[in-house]
Amino acid sequence: MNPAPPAVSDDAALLHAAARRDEAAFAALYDRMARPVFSLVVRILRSRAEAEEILQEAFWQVWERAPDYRVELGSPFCWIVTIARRKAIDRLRANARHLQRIAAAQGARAEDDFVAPLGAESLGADERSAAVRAGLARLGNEERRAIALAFFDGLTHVEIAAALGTPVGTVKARIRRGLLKLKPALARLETTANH
Amino acid sequence: MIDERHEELAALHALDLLEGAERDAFVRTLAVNDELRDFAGRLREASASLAQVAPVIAPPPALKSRVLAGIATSAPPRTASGLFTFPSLLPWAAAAGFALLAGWFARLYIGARAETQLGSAQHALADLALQQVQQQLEAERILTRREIAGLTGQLTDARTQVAALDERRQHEADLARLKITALTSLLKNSPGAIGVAVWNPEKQEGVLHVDKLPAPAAGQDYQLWVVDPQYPNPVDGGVFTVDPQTGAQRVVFKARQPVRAIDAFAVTLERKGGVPKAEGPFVLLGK
Repeated sequence: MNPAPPAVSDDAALLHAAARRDEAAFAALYDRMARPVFSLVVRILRSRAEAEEILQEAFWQVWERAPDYRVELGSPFCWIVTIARRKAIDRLRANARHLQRIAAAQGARAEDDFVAPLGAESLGADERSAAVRAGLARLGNEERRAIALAFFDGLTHVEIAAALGTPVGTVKARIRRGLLKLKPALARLETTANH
Repeated sequence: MIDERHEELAALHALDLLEGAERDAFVRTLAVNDELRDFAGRLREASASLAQVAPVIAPPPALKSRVLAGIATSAPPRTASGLFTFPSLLPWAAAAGFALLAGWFARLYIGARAETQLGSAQHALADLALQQVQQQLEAERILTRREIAGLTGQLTDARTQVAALDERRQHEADLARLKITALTSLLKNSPGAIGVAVWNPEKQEGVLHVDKLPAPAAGQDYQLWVVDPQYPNPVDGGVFTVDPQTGAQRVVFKARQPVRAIDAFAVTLERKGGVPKAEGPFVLLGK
């Protein structure tokens, strides 16, 4: 089961406390964020050992940069995911494994991108992940595919175009449409959470 | 109102797909456009939410301990444990410093040794290459020497042949220039006596070969004369005797005066030692 979806306000309060060197608040923030972030990093690197290193480095960076966090930068979850994801993709590119991803992307089915690999447990039925999955269901296969190759495999839009045999402009348009379709579902979720 | 172009840029920015100047320009636009900045933030949230659909895998509990141990001190957390105070770290720091210094020297030593070994190996390779070059040059030198010897032999042979040809040509030229005259007997008691005179005008010398001449009496010699029209009297060619048994003789002679043209050769019988001007009877004559 996934942990309870982090409430933005709670997460922000914990992050601000961490910025004041509150280790207990930072530990609580870790408890709320570590599992989805670790899942994402494992999904990107396809290696638990490397994912542990990245998660450790990511949270150390969160601790160091916590004083710089502002609400205007997005939710704490988004902020921490961005930090961890960039580190994971840097590692992926440093090992040139993203080239394998490009090759693997050619001929793979779009539906594979969001299917659980590595024998992981099934997704939790928490409200946030359900909302994201509902939003993804509104996307076309090509839109989901383009977004997944960018988000999980760290491919650039040029590499995605090469992998899919599609013009770069088309890839950009699919990403734009896909994220626009995904955005309202999350907005409703935030509205509900705020109330 | 946000146009499609900026929507697209915001979407790409949300997935970290913008790079370089395009990203910098978009970030500058965000700084001055509140609506676009809010829109881009929402797309960033949307993309980050995709992490929620990754297959769920729990991090190991020990990882949390490591993370928290790393942040226990405010210093960069990657190496500090946070469990020790500064004074208690001094011995460890000294030991670590010594270990680092020792390690540094060891590294220097190993590096120098490796460089020495590498240098030795390169030196050995250079020697080997030099030996190969020397052997090749020696082989080429031997071959060249043999070729030179062969060519020298051929040149010597050629020179010998040329010399022989020159000699032969000279000989043939000399023969062409030689004056050859057969002398017949004027003696009634020795009608078979003969002689052949060969004169080389270049060398101003000649050869006289006589046969079947009767041996001259004691106190007498045969004397050869060369008849040159430029002189009123025949030119003295010297005296000779013959073999008493065969009457033959071969005489190399020179004229007492320079000879330009020869009309005839003559042999007279004169008193011993010869005379300046022919006095005795003619024995042989040839024109």
